[in-house]
Amino acid sequence: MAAPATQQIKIRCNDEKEFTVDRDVLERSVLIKNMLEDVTEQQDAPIPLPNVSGPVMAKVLEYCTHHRGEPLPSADTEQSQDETRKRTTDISEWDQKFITVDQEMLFEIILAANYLDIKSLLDVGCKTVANMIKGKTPEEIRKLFNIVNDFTPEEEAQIKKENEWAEDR
Amino acid sequence: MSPPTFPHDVLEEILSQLSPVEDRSFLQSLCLVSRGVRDVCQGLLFSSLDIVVDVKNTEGRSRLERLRNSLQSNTRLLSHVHEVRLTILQSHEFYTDRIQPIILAVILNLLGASPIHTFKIPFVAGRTLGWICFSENTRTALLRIFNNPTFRELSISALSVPSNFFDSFERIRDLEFLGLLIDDFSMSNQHPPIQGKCKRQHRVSRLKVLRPLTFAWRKTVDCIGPSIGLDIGHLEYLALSASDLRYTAHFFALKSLKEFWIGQSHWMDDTSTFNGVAFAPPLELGALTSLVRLSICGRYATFSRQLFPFLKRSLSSFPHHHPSLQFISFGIETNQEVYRASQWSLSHELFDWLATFCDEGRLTQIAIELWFPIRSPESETDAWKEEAKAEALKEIAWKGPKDALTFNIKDFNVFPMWG
Repeated sequence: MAAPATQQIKIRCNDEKEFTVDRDVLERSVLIKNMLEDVTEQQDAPIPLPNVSGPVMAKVLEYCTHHRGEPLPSADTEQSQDETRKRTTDISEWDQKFITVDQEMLFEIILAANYLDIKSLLDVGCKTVANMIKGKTPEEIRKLFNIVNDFTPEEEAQIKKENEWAEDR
Repeated sequence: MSPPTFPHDVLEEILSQLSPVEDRSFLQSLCLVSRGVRDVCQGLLFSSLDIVVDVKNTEGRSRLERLRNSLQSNTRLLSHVHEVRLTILQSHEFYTDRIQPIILAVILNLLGASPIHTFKIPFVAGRTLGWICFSENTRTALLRIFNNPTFRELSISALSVPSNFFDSFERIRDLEFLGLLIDDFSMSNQHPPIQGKCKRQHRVSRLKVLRPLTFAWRKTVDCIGPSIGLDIGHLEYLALSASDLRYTAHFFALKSLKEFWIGQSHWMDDTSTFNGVAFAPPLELGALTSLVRLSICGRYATFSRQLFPFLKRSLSSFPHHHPSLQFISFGIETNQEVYRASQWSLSHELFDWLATFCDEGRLTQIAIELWFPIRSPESETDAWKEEAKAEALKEIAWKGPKDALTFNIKDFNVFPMWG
C-alpha cells in the first residue's frame, strides 16, 4: 500500500518567490508550525513570509529538508540544551559545508532562522559567526560587521573601569 | 555590504558562544566595540558573579574592591546579575583582613537591586570566620536578596550561618531548590580539644541545626520552622552521615520521606563514627509513614558493632503495619582484615525481627551488599569472599521468606556511600 501523501504547503517570500514544500519540512520552523496549527481549514493561499527573501528561503529549505524527521527541541529540554549548546562550537560536517556561504548570506540565514524560529539553524549560524570573531580586536570586529564606534573617549574609560573586576580571573 | 543589524537576542546568542570562563577577557574587550555589543557582553560577564572572600589573603581584597567599584560606578550592571557564587575561604580560625567582610556587605547590599535567582555559598571554612562574614549587615543584605520575588534557588554551607539566619527568610517556602551542606568535620577531626565544645554548641546554641553530610529538597519546603530541620514537610529524600544520627530526632516529622540513606563517610575514623549511635535515641522511623526505602552504608567493623542493635531499636518504633516500607539495604564496605573483626552475630536479633516483617508481607526485600575494594590484597581471593558470605549467612540464619533476602559481593573503586 502506498504511503499517505504528505501535505504540501505553499509559502511566499518578500520578493514574491513562492515555494511548495512538504509540511513536515516546513514545520522545522516553529513560527510556521504554529501558524499551520492555528489554521483549522486547509487554505490554498500561500503563507506570506515578509522577512525572508527567495534565495535565503531556498537555503533555509535546503537545511530543513536535510534535517527533516529529526526531533525538535521541546520547551522542557530547551533550557538544558542551551547550556550544552553554548559550551560547544562543534558544527557537524554537513552543517559546516552548508553554512560555508558569503558573509551577507550567512547573516541573512541567521536573521531568517531567528524570524522563522529554527533553533538548530540559528545555532549553526551563531557558532559560525562566533568562530569568525574569535581573537579579533574591537576595531577588526567593527570592520567585519560594519559597526560604527559610538563611544566617546570618556565612555570607553568608564567601560574599562567597569570591567576591571574580572581581569584577574 | 550593508551592516548586519542583528537584534539584541541574536547578538546575545552569537556572543554567548564565547561566554565560557576562558573567553572572559575577550568578552571584556568586545565591550569596547559598540554600545549594543557592550550591553550584551556585560550581560554575559555579570550574569554570573563569583565573589571570593579570603581574609587570610589581603591581596584578595583588591579584587573585591574592584567588584564593589564596578557595581557602584554603574548600577546598570546590577540588572545583569542573576546568579551569585560566594566563596568564603580561610583554613584557620584566625583572620588577618577585617576589611573584606565589610566590603562583602557593601557588595551584597548593592546586589539587593539585582534580579538574582540563584545564590550559592558552597564553602565556608572556619566557623568563626563564617559568623564574621555573616555579620548583621551581611545578613540583612543576604535576606534582602533571598526575599526578592525573583529568587528561586539557594545552596548554602549552613554550619557557618548563625542559627537564627533563616528566621527572617520569609520566602524559603517558595524556593524551588534549597540545598544545605552542613559539615564541621574540620572542627571535630582537626581540633580534638574543642570537639566537645563544638558539639555542645550544636546541640544548644545552634538549636538542632542538623548536620547531614548533604541533604537537599526540591520544589516545596513546607516549613523550616524556628530552626533548620524542624517540620520539613515535603522532603522525599534524605541522606545523613551516620555520626549525625544523634542530632536527628527532629527530622522525624518527615511524613513525605520516601528514601532515607544513612552513610558513614570515609574520612571519619571508625571509632568516632558509629559510637554516637550507641548513645543515640532510637530514630523514630515509624513516623516516616511514606518511607519506601531505607539504606544503610558503612564500614564493616563499626557497622555491626553499633548499628545493628541501634536499628533494631529504631525499627521497633514501626507501627504494626507500616504502610510503605518495602526495601532495606545494607551496603557494607569491607576487606579481609576488617571482615575478620566481623560481628554478624550481633545482627541476629535484627534479622530475626526483619524476617517477621517479611513474613507479614510488610517488607518485600532486604539486600545486603559486601563491597570489596578492587585493589584487594592477593589473599582476598574470590573464594575467600564467598566463604565470608557463607559465614555471614550462617550467622544471620535468615528465617524469613527465601527470596526476600539477597546477599551480593561487589567490587568498588569508590564506595557508593550515597547511592
